[in-house]
Amino acid sequence: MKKITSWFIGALLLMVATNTAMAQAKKPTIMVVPSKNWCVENGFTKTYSNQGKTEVEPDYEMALANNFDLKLVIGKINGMMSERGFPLKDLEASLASLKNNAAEEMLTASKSGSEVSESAVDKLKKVAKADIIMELSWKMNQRGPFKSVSFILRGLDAYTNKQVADGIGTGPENGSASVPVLLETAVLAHIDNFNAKLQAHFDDLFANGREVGLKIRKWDSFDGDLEKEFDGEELGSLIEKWVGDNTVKGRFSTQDATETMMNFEQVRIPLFDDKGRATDTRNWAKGLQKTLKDKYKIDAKLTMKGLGEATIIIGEK
Amino acid sequence: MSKIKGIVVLLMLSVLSFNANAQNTATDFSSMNYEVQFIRTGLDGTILFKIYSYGKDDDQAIANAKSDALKAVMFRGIPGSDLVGPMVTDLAALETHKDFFQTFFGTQQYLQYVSISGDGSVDGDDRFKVGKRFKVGVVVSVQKGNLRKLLEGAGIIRSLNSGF
Repeated sequence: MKKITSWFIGALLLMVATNTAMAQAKKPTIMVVPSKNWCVENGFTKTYSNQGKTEVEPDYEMALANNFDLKLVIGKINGMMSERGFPLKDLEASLASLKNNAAEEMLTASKSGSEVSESAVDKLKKVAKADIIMELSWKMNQRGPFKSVSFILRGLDAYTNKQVADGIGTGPENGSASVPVLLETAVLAHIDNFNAKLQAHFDDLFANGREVGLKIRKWDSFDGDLEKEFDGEELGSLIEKWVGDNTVKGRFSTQDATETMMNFEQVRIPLFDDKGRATDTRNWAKGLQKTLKDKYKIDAKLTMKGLGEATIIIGEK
Repeated sequence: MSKIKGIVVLLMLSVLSFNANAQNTATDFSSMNYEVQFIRTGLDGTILFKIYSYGKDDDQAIANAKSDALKAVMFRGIPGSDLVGPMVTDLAALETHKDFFQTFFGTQQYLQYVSISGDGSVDGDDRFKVGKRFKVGVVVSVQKGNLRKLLEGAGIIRSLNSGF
């Protein structure tokens, strides 16, 4: 009886361990967004002030409200990606959340009193938290009675802003097909190639980790700088060691390093933390913040820009 | 003695013939004895292209065109189309999933995923005699969407959301 009980408990523990080990990575979220170029060409823009300078940004809400073809294309892409197991984050719903947050943002001010200024895409990325932005543009070409579509679909990694997939081309000329049919054909003609490249990007994520960026800065109030020694080693070197120990295959590059700042690029962070839970840039960088506090008694503030760039400011929180 | 020699020769011939009939799955399914010309992507998850296949006569060449069309989509890709690369990128799958492919092509299950476009007749310009064989060009429609789902379900290719 004791033997049976021990076997049963052993089997149960093994099941639990296996389930923990098989934790899955966070599924990237994808959102289709019309490109700035398309919005400008079609007149869907608005202006905003960026620290005294007037900038033009896409007006996604106006575009969705007034352009049926845009809704058709986004709907078609959404449908095809859902079939592949990747339902997309809805642009319209994300814009609605953005509006709700806008009132709160109006009250936000920096220590100097200036307002927070972000572009439309940055705001959208922050709210939607999409890992991949599928940037969409097309142009109708006409030669006499014949029409064709030049179509661009780019997959941009929201962490690094790097292009990770694309589907680009001009479809055949057609004298009788309507614009919606031409657009639908264009989506179908490019989506498989796009997904093949996206698959390659996901394979790279699993093999080599997610690519992010890390910046180290210091407050003026910090007593010392990155050359200050702890346990006989400079703080900058200790930080570099931590990054090397906590990246996949130790992959990162130190783009710049002085006594007051460090910039790390092409940092490959694991998809899971040491407890097997899916993680992201912020959680990963918190590890460095905690190490600085626990080991060297240094307070540090962690800020994020988008999903893929962490900044740790040493000295105080 | 001559009887024993005869039996040995017969045995050797039988062994050779067994080896000749035993198909090397990798060679058979990944052979590129056909040519493809992309036409267009269909609106309903299909792809349309012209395939030139070989056979001892027209009928056999047309029959081979259907299986060759699926092999082209799965193992080679269709240049100039949205399926530039093959669906099955790891050719080791041909051995690890040998049973699947033998069933798929052997029991004519593949016919669900391919059809000859038009009335099946072959244009005179698309018929050639090459040595002792005939080469025939026909337009085929392959249901790439359904084929992909089948291969993903069988674990031969990874789906886009696998691992997440």
